[in-house]
Amino acid sequence: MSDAPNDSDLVRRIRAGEAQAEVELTRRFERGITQILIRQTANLALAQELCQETLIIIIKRLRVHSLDNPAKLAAFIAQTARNLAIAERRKQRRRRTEPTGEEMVDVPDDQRDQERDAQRDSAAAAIRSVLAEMKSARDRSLLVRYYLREEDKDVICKELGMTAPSFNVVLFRARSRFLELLTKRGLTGTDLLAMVLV
Amino acid sequence: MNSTESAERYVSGRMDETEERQFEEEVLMQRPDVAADVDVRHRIKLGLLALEERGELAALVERPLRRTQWHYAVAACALLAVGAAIAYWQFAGTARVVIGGTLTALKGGATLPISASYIFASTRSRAQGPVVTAARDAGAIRIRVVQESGIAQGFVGSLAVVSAGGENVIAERVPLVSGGNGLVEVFLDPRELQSGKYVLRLAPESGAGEAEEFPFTLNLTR
Repeated sequence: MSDAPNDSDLVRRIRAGEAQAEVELTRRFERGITQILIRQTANLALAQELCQETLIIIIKRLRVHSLDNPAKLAAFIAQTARNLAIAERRKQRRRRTEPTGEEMVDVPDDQRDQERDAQRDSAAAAIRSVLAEMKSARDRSLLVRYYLREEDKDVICKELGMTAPSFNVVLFRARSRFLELLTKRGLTGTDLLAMVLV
Repeated sequence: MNSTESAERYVSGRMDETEERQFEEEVLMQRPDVAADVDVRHRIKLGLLALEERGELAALVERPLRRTQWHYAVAACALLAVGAAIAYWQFAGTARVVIGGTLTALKGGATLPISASYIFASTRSRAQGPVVTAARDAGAIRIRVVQESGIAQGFVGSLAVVSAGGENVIAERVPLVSGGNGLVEVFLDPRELQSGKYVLRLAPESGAGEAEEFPFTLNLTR
């Protein structure tokens, strides 16, 4: 739930020019903003870039103006992030040229921007290792069906002949191992914003 | 509902717009622990998506058993064979169809649109074959093959998944139709396939003559 007095105080301190308050705002909201933007863009690098933009916009705004309802700071930031994602989508849509009709065999592979995303590569490498370590084909299939195909948990359990607790154990182990591998690679993606607000 | 369930529903897009905004503003923005949980789920999802787009996922999921696992596998196979025989007898009518000679041969084919269309021709200089890109749920993939045998009609096709462990044939001797223009039509159902490397083989139904091979990479998008 929203911590309204704290949010109002943060807004007031930024308006008063307190640099430490800007750092606090960044630390407090960066993770949430990034997740909203990943959900909107399905692109880790882009989400982090837009998160930085969101924070810069918010802080610049708060340095000059207060909010009508400072207690709604989180909602205001979330909406700003969504607006940036929408603007980015429009920009990409204008740039994109979609192939239509029949294509011959020599059509080159469509190398998209996301493949240059180092964080995405890191996630791919970690999940590759997780899949390679999973001995059961059923468990590997479960991971793909649940996370990628977004199939319903009950349906997967029924089709794979699993109980809900066994299902949860497989997911929990996979998530823990994935996180461990990502952390080993030093890429948890949470400490990138400290240098933003110069 | 606990935060784990909410995180699951958020990442898999099962919340309606109002619920999603509420979750973002009241939970995700306020609770770093939930945001961290969502972050891991997002990264797993995007990592899997990246592997699928690169054509690596199918081989990782369907990789063959290691040597040490064969003892268990043999015992399991004996049990499975009995179960499979019963299952086949009961469910033969609903077996998955990955490839058809006509659109209607695919599941729900009568109303299935064609989402992507390609022409394959033997080009011996290209060992890798083309990349066939299509959306998983947007309809069938139509492949028209320029066949070189000179036979007007009477073909059968097979489809095999190619992985590091070799080939796994997933459809065999499927009757195919040759149009008057010398092209043989093949329809693939992307709902039943995964991104990865495949080989399509065409052979005269009579068994006379060699099969023509068309390796390709399937790149399924959402």
